[in-house]
Amino acid sequence: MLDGKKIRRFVSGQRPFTVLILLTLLGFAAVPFLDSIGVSLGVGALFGITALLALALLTATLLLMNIGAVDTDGAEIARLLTRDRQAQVLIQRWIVRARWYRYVGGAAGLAFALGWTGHFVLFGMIGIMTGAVLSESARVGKPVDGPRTAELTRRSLRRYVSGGQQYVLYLIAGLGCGLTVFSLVDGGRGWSLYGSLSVLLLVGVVLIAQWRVVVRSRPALPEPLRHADDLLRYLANTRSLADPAMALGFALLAETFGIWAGPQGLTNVAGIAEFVCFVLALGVWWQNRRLGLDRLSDVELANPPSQGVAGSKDQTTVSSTHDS
Amino acid sequence: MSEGEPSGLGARVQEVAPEVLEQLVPQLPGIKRRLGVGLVVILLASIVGVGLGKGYVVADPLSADFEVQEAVVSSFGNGDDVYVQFAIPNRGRRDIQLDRVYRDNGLNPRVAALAGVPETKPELGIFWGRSSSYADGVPSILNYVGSRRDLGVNEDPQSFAGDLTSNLVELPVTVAGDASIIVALIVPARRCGESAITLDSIAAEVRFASIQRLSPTRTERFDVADDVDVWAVKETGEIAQAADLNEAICEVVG
Repeated sequence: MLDGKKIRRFVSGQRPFTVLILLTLLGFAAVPFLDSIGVSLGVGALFGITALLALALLTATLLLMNIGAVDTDGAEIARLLTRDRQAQVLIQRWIVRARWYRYVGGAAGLAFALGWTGHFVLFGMIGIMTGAVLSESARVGKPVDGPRTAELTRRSLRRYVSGGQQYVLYLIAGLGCGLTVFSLVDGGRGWSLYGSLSVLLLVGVVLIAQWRVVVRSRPALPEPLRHADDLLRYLANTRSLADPAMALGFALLAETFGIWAGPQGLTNVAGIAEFVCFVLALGVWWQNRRLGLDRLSDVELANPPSQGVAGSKDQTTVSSTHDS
Repeated sequence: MSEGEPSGLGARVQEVAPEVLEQLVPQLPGIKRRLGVGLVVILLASIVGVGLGKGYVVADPLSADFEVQEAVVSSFGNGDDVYVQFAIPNRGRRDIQLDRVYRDNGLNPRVAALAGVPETKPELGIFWGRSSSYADGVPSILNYVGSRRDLGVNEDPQSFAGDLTSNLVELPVTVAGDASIIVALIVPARRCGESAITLDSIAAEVRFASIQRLSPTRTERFDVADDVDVWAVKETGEIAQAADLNEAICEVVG
């Protein structure tokens, strides 16, 4: 049971220094044990061990914080995205939820790969993607009793996505199509066919998930909240869904190209394609880590979809109320 | 700042902590719930992965249902970090740890022949495989030496040697693919500690040494004499790499 008072005492006092001293003592305490197994250490190694212990402690803490959805910068990002207090709460909740699903999914993917084939990059990305789709499909909050309101706004997918990202997704799907045909024509069934079909399945699932994000209902809301909701849909489709889908798509393509490349690596076209796709997958993942919200462009911050895209003039907004 | 008040980091922490805790403490029930759910999900994923991994090893590269294109020892060490790399037509490469390969009633004979390893895992001792990590592309013979834990820590090289030799009567070496030359060296352990081993110095001292030129697809068996002293096996096409070999030997025999 976590005790708030203990945490307060721990954080507000000079405890960080105490922890550092304790870790150093722990490092020195390891000396007799290491001596007993025939390892003698100098001062440098001793401090190295202490640093490793501190690093291990820090890693474990961060791991548990992320799995527990203790989001340290979600509120700050929300403040950057909108000035409205209620909208900030809405955005912060989405950030915490999306990151938690992705993190748990990614960690589960890594754990799965650890037990199975060891394809950590691929299964980590599959986990992130699964978490992202589940996050955006999750029903948030409980149904409210009494009168319900609904906003009857025509929304289209293209208003809530980034054109560039969608084109990359279509490119990935095109490559998946090509590899599927090639697998069928060449008679190379098995993993090459499964890999290319997985690419097509991925793009299909992501497009459906994006569409569901766009068309999911919302009640009639005050203007700031409506803008925040538009912004959330845009971020969900781009940062939460499209980016991980691109990373996973490239990773799946790399795996498929790798099957055709064989053990010779970069000596043939398929091997080079495998390498390029793998690098692209890692690059996109790196940009999208922590949802990529710390990399929002100035344009996006200045013209969120609530004003520049989804909130454009040709959008018809009709609010109505009815009893549930 | 009055005397006794914290300064620097301490003061900063005292300033920020109450605000952080005000937000954090009400969230603790939710944090605990998500922490529990997250850990359970990760645990289940690892269990499923391990379960599938067991089936994967049995059903995939060890199955007789498909042709294995190539199987090589891709890395080596003393025990747990030895992998066999399988190349299966249209199914890509799979790196599988030898301990897992041998977990289920031995290794498929065709795979074993391709990798140059025994069909059943030796309780201790050495078996050979071809390395894909060899710099110039010439497959080389590698040794897999049981870790000291597996062998039983024994500081007496002579008694240790007795166990080893009893398991090394035959050393099958298979040459396949584009291999044209394999040089196999069997080195006496008493050479441990030397900074380098040269071909000439070995030839003068070893009880059993075999330096063979093997043609592709030919299989050779090296019969080891019963009175072999403590020795370990390693290979290389280049004698200049024998320093590594020396370390491997010393690691085994202590």
